[in-house]
Amino acid sequence: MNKFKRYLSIFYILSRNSLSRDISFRFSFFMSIFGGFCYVALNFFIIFFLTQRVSLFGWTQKEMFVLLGSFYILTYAMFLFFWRGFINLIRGIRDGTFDYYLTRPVDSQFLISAVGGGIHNLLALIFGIFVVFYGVNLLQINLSLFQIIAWAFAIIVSVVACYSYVLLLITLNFKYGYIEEVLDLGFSFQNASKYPLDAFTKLPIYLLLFTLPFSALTTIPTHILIDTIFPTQMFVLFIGGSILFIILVRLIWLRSLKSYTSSS
Amino acid sequence: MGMPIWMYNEYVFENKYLVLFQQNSHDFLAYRVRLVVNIINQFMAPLVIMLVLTNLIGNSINGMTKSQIVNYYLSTSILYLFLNSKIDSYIKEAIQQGEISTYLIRPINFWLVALVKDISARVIKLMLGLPILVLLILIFSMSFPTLSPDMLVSLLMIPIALLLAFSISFCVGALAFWFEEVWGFQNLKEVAILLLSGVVLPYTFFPKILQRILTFTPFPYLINWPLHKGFSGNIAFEFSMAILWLVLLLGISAFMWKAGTKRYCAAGG
Repeated sequence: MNKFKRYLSIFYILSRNSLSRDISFRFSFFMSIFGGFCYVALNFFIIFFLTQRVSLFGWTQKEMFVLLGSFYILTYAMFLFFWRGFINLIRGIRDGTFDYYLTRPVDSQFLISAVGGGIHNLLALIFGIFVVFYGVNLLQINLSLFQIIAWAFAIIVSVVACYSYVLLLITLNFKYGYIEEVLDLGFSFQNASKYPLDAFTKLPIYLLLFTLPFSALTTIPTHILIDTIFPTQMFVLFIGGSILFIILVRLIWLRSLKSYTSSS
Repeated sequence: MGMPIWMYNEYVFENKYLVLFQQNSHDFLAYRVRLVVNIINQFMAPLVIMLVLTNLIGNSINGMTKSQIVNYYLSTSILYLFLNSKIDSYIKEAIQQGEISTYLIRPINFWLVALVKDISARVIKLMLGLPILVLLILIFSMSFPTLSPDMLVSLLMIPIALLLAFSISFCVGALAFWFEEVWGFQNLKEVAILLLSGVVLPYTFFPKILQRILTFTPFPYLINWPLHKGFSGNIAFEFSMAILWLVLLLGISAFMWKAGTKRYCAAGG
C-alpha cells in the first residue's frame, strides 16, 4: 500500500510539473489546442462524408458518431497521458539520457509513462465524451448506470492496451537504433479504430493483425452503449485479451531493457 | 561527342546545389529503417480507408467499382509520398535553432537549398516507396499501369504540383519567423491536404458545391491532379488555376522570407 501511495505521489508531482510547463507559454498552448482540433475536424469530416454516401456495414450515422467519440477519447487520452513520455523515451534511448530513468529507485516503465503528454489534449478528450453522449442522445437510448460504468472501464482498458501497442513499437528502438517514426506509425495504425470491427473482418490475416485489434479498442466500448442486450461474451473476451496483451508487452519491455547499451 | 568525363565531374562538383542534393540523399539514406518506417507511415492513411471501402457490401461504392477504388488509393499513396512536401519542419527548425544564419552569410540561396533538400527527400522516398507499391499492386491483384500519350500531360503537371506543395510548405515553415510554435499551422496544412486534396476520400464523396469551390483552391492540384486531370471538365482552366496559385504562393513565400529575415535575430544578435 505504501508503494502504491509513493507511486501515486510521484505521478501527481510529474503531472503538476507537466501542467505548469504546458501553460507557461500561453500562445503555444492555444496553438496546440488549435493543432489538436485540426485532426478532430479531419476525422469528423471523413466519417460525415462517408456516412452521407454509403452504409458502413449497417452502422447508422448516429451510431458512427458514438464510435467516433470513443475514437477521440482513445486518441486524445493517449496524447494527454503518454505522448511526451514516449518522445522522451525514444530520444533517451538514442542519446543515453534513458540512464536517468534506469538509475531511479522507481520502475522505469512507470517513470517514462507518468511524464504526461500535453494538457491541451484534454479539451479534445472532453469533446470526444460530448460526441459519444450526443450520439447516444440522437439514438434515444436510455443508458443504465451499469452500461456507463462498463463503457468507462472498457475505454480505460482500451487506452492501456493502445499504450502497450505503441510501447511495443518503441521497443524496436532498443534493437534497431533511433526510429522516432514508430510513434507516428502507432498513431497511423490507431486510425483504424475510427471504423467498426466489421470493416476489417474479411481481410487476410497479415492485414488483420494491424487493423482488427485497433478497431476493437473503440468498437467494443461502443457496443456496450448502443446494443440493447449487453454484449457479455465480447466484453469478457476483450478485457481478458487486452490484459494478456498488456502483460506480454510488460515482459517484452523488461527483456528489451537488457539490449539498452547507454550512450557509451 | 559528349562532354569529357573530367569536365562533367568538374561541372557536377562545382555546382553547389547538386552537391547539396547528393549530400542530402546520403543523409536520408544513413537511417534506412527510419526511412522505411516513414514511408510505410505515409501509405497508411489512404490504405486504411481503402481497406474499409473495399470491404463494403456491393460492387459499386458511390459510383466507383472496387478495383477503381483500389486503383485510386494505390496511385494516390505513391503520389502523396512524392508530391507532399514536409519541408516546413526543416525550415521551422532552421529558423528556431539559428541554422539559417549560416546560409544568410553565404553566397547561397536558402529558397533553393530548401527546394533541393525537399526534392532529394522526395526522390529517395519515391525510390523506396515504389517496391512497396509494387508489393501492394501484387497483393490486391491490380494490373500495372501502361504508358499512354495521356501520361505526357500528367508529366507536365508533376513539376507544378511539386512546386505548389513546396511553396505552401515553405510559407508554413517561414511562419516560425513570427511565431514561437507553428505546430498548429503544420497540422492545419497536413489536414487540409489529406482531406481537400482527395488523399483520404475521392472528390465524389464531397457535396457538389464543395467540389466546385475546391476547383478554385490550390488543393486539387497538389496530389491527385496528374491522375485525375480534367476533373473540373476543363483542363485549360485547371492549368490556369494551378499556375495562378503557383505564382501567388511563390510571391507570398518570397515576401515572407524577405520580411522574416528582417525580423530574424540569431543568438548573439
